[in-house]
Amino acid sequence: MTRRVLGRIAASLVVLWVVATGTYGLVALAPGDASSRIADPRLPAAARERWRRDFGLDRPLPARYLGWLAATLRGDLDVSWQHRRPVAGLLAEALPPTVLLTSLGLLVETLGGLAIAVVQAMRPRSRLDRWLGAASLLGYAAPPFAVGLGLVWLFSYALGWLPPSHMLSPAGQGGWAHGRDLAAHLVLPVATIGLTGMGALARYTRGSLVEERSQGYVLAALARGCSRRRALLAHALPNAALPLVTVLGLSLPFLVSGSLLVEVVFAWPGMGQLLFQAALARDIPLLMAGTLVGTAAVVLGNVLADLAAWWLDPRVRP
Amino acid sequence: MRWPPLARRSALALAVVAALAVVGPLLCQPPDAISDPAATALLAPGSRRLVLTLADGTTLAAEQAVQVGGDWEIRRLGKLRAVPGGDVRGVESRRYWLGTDALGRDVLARLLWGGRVSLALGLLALAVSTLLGAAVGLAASWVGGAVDATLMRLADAVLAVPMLVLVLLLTALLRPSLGVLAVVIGLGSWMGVARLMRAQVQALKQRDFVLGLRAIGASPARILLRHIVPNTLAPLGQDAALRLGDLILIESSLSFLGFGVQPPAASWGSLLADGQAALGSGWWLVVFPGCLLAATVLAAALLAEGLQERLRHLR
Repeated sequence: MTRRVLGRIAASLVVLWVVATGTYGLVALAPGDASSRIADPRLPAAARERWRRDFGLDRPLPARYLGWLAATLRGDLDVSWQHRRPVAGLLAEALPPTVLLTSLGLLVETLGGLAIAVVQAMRPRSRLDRWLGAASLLGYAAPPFAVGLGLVWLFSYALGWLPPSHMLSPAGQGGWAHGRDLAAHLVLPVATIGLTGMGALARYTRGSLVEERSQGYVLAALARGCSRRRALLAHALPNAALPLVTVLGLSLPFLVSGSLLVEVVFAWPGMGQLLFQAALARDIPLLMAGTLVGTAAVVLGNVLADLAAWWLDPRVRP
Repeated sequence: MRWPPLARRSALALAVVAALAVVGPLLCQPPDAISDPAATALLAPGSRRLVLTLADGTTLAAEQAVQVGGDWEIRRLGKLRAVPGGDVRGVESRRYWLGTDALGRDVLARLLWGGRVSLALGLLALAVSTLLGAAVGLAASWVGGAVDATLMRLADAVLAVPMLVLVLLLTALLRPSLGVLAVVIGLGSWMGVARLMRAQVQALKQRDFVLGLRAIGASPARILLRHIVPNTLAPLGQDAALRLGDLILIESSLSFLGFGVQPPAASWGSLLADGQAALGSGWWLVVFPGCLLAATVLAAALLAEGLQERLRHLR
């Protein structure tokens, strides 16, 4: 068991290394280098050469790559061209808002998806089942930014109930007012992530719930006098929800991409917003570090999902 | 077996969207043909304006216009104004069925022209990712060994990078144009196809007909191209249908962020970005492109599901 866990972690470290190397290779091999990307094009040739030397661009590629890899492993992610500050500090500032937003979004997505699936599976092929099925398909197909904009239009402009963007009001508040302010700003972005994510989850869970319902052990529970609701919730749901852990793990890249769009729509001061601004400014060090951190989050999530699946389900345990 | 009705309907819906994208631009004026932007900005859906073309080439969009004697008496932006009849070259009544944007462009025209870009880019990216993925999968499974292991680890690695982050990095490195955009999206989405192709070829390699072909002395290239590849086309096609919607979504996300199609060209994603800028003043700028985009993606997903159903019954 320990061997398998360690092997899984080693494999994910290999993935991370491949991504890091690939990212570096892409940037190094793309036409133009740092001196042509950020230096003023009118710079005289001699000054450009000094620039290249200052950036270490006159050294051969393998030497540069090894130096970069060593620095990255030390946590030194270079300096952002746009902010003129260390990238690591920028990422550390942007991480907490993103973690707050995505974890709440994931929670809403999971609970909402499970609830819809359970309601559907109570009476499969009923009218309610079909409507909810259609709604979850729509949630799956709707682009997150369009859903976000629709919510902003409805709740911020038409009704005026909730703030349309940012994480906090400009006027600083303390104590409870601060918490209320944060919560009010969280509602719409969290709802956007939840609504667009729960559709796929509900479809998947409904399918496996309906399948589990027809299994012998559910029939046995019903024969023992267990109520239909209890048979579904206490017996079928845990078995149907097990593969969900893996599905959630696999959906992490989409969560990261989706929350990037949501952060841009709502001007949320997180990683997505930071990377979006970096791409606008062609801030390559920041984008490279962002790619690594995003990948690391996905890889970590996948490992955790696998470990959770092994822990929850003895059948898939190695 | 008959096609499932939902799949047939969504195939029809997709066909309608595609037909509109192809034929639509012939039916309406290009969205850049704006008349009198100050008086046609942010008109609600269904508005009508009378457009007077003057002798000096300028246009006036009037809410109402009556001809008194030889001259025109018009109301423009709520103010009455007289225009000498000699100045007026032509008068045309225009209906803005889906409203106009902040620059006075017709939303319907922009949707039709933008749909062209969205669908074309989606299909192009689909072709790139399917060809690339199929080639990688084929090479991995046929050569096997170290090549297989390397290619599949590479696929795992690219799969772990959040798609949008990868594409943002690529667009920052390369100047986006339509072709580059399709290649970039394709580079971020070939991994699923490669895995599918590899699994298919590995399964087919074990089958008796391949053994038989080997026994009668068919060359490996012939077995691969004439006998194995044709058998993988059905699952590949079904997978492609499933991914078409995703790729259209990715293209529109990129255009929404401003890294896709550059203005004045527009896709549904960039229409939504314009809509965000004017959200407080016009819901129609967000609702129509959003619904069209969602409907297209939905239709593609349902079509893929129908294909899957049909393939299962055929087997």
